[in-house]
Amino acid sequence: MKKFLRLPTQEDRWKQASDEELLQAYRQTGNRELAAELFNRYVHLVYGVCRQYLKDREDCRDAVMAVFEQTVIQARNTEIQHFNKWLYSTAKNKCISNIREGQRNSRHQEEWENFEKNDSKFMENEGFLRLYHKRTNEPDTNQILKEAISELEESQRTCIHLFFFEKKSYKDIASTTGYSVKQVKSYLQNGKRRLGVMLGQKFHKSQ
Amino acid sequence: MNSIFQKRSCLTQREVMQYLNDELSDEQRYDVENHLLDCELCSAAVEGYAQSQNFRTAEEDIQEVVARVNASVKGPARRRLAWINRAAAVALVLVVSYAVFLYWSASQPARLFAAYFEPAPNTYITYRSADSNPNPIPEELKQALGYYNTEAFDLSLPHFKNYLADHPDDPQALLLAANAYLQAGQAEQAVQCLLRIEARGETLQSEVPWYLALAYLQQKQLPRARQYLENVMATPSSPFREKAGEILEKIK
Repeated sequence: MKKFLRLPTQEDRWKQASDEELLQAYRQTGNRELAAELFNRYVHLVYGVCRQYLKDREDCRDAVMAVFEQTVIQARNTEIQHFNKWLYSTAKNKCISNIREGQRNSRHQEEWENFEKNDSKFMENEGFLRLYHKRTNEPDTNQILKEAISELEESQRTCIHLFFFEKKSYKDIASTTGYSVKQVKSYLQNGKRRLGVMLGQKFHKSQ
Repeated sequence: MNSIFQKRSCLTQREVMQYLNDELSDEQRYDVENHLLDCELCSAAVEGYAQSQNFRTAEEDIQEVVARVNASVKGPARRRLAWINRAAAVALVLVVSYAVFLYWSASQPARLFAAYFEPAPNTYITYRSADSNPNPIPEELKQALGYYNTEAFDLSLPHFKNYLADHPDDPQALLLAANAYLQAGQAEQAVQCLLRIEARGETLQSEVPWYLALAYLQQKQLPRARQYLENVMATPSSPFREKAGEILEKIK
């Protein structure tokens, strides 16, 4: 009876909904609980992103809350295609903004240096692969993929081969090749992105 | 080859911790690292956790943030809504319960009638040969009884009606007609037949109050039904006393 009186179970239905469904429902209704449900799915990741830039835990918690408040506003008014990508950009920008403000106050000099040091890596991360999931089932895909891999730079080719074909971890690849883990990740990200672009061109030509 | 471009959802908090603690199987680790190549959010988050090194404080912080997020969206308006929902639920339960009670109460006499009604047996004496019958049965009554005996009560009714037009004081025909009316769900006509027998006050003194009680039950007139059931109980020789007592107990 108690369960029945709690009258429900909207929360249960929300938990089963996709990100897109929650976003759409939030845009239509403005119910902030929908935004919270969606945001809480990623809160640990937003916290991790903020933690990368902000050393102070309290600053970090405040930044995550600020990202949530921004989510509440932006998700209502704009159409967000990929919520996780949007969250990453928003969290990163919020941290940068905080650090800049802190830098002006000369309080967060160290965090700023940390950001400057890491930022180049993230610039490399932008624009990931998004194509060809369907086409990878076509018979000539393997051949085209091999050709594309052979055209990669050696560092990227080596890392791609060890990761995707020998299923080695970042750490194992680093110890095998002598690259640092960060370099391995960077080669893999760039190599994978280039592969996507090359495959797109090759498929286009083959049609 | 498909595994290069396969998609998966973002990492859970548990997966992040397991990955950083080297607690994943090779297959799981490959899935995670392949996802990290494509997902800026997860990639940056893993970097962040790896830098902080203190997962316990991170978990505490996340719990606190989740609590703040949830508290910020559950304002008074929601509480009012929840209160209204609860009140509506209680009202609904009460209304449904009352409706069920009313239905149960209203249907009780009909259920009792169905449980206790058995058509009176035909007690006319019929002869195999018409020649040997000193008082031959009129054709209408014969047809009425023919249908009555085969439980075709609705077909018997017109013939009883015709017969009773010429023989209005035949108590046996009135009783059987009343039973046919009861069986057909026409309690009012049944009552009229039975009251005509009762007015004579001579015969069928056990049957008449019993079937009148059943007719009033079918009409959902409980006080009158109770009155005739008590008459049955007051007649020591009535074969219906036991049943009348049971009904009286149920409609007390």
